[in-house]
Amino acid sequence: MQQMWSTDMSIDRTDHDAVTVVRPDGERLDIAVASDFRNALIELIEHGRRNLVVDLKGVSFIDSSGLGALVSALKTLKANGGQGDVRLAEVQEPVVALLEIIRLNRVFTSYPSVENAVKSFS
Amino acid sequence: MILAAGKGTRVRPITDTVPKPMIPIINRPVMEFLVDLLRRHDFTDIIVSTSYLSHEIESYFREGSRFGVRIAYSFEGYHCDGEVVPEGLGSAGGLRRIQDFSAFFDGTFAVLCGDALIDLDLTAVVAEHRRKGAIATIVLKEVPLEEVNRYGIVEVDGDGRILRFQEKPKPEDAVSRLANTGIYIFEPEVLDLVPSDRPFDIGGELFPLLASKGLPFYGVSMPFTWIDIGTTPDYWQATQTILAGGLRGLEMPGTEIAPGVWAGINVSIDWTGTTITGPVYIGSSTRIDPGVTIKGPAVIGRNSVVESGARIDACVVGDYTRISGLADLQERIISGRFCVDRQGHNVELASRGMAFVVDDARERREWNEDQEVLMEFLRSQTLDAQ
Repeated sequence: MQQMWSTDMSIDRTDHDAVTVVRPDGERLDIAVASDFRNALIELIEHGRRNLVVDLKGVSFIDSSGLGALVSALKTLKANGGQGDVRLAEVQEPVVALLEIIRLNRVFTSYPSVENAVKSFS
Repeated sequence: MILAAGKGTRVRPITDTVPKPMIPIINRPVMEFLVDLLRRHDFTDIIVSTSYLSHEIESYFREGSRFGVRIAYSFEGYHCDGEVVPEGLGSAGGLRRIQDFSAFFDGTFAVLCGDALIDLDLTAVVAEHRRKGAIATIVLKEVPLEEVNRYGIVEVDGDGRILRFQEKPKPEDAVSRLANTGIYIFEPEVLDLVPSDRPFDIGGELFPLLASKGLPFYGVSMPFTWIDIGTTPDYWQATQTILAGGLRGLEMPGTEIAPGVWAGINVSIDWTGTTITGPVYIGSSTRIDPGVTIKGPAVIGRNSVVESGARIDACVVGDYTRISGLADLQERIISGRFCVDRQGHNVELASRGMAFVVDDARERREWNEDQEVLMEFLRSQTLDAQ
């Protein structure tokens, strides 16, 4: 497991073969940290890590910026017909509700565990 | 007497701005249905105990002339630095204070809570109360055994005399399935037992006193619809039940503009690509854009806007609410200020920078770049899906 440090948040990164699991460390994926989070995800993609699982177990608050970071990562992956996906694991109930209301639950597949999410790529 | 002084904490966030008796059922406050019922059974002099957000109640009902009754208010509290400090006297204490003030209760009288919908034959209840020579009668309702733990349960003998009370018993311990509905009929003499100088509660103190003194104290059980709005889930369920015709005597307001769809006046609906499956009520001055899907039972309030692409399923939408085409809302109670699910859990959209999904229809906001990008993406997804 590696730590990726940025100004306001740390992100744990673990590689499982072709899949990278990223876990933002903090309860809020909001405007204060979204930019750093987005940059971290883009950086991973640029280095060829295209199967991403975001572990949201500890995240109880996501705002439009946090969602924007996830969307940016997905758009980058899919640009020019690219392969890969961003999938979510252990999404907390309030976040589930938010995703459903804006239909992002159909864009980002959620899994009950990181293990399930990682397996889904094979 | 209608008891309407409570804070309604279990129906938050709806009750943050509206006291429970004023919660809208389709397009009229809960308490209006009660006042109407009382009038139909000749209870035309009504006193209402108020405290929390009393202005909302008093400004709507005033002295009752519009509703064919005479209404007075018993305000329980005082003002301090612009805030209302509630000064509860207990349900019986409140009655005693009114009686001391003006001897208002000069004959058989009823006491009920201002937050339930009922289609009870009060005339029949009073007749039974008098036939038995009761000083106090509780209206009881038979509830399913598995639900007894939600109610005050009452045991009566063969004549209907009250034997004892059980508060929210487990089904295996319950002495009966008769629930105390909080609807009471009293004779004025009962107030002689209530002290003037301290809070006194009907259920907790007056009733045990009546039972211990062996006074004629009865329970009357009859089938009737009793829809209680004690919690947010209750409210959502109540609206569903009533829209589906579950309260006898309650007709859909407005005009039926399409099968199962009723509307007020000045309503603008673009039916191109729009599907509305009843029962649905749409409030006056509301606009429904093309390409909207509304699945009933549902209510859309007044002066609201539902934008193209929106999906609404079994929701209660308030007044002045804008629902964007990005929204997919199921089994929720929605306004410009909150978006709760049927369990009462709120998704706070504005604090998450997501007011573009659901907002007050009167707001004009500017979006930052991140929000614009997100909205654009969400729009593209909605279009792809169609």
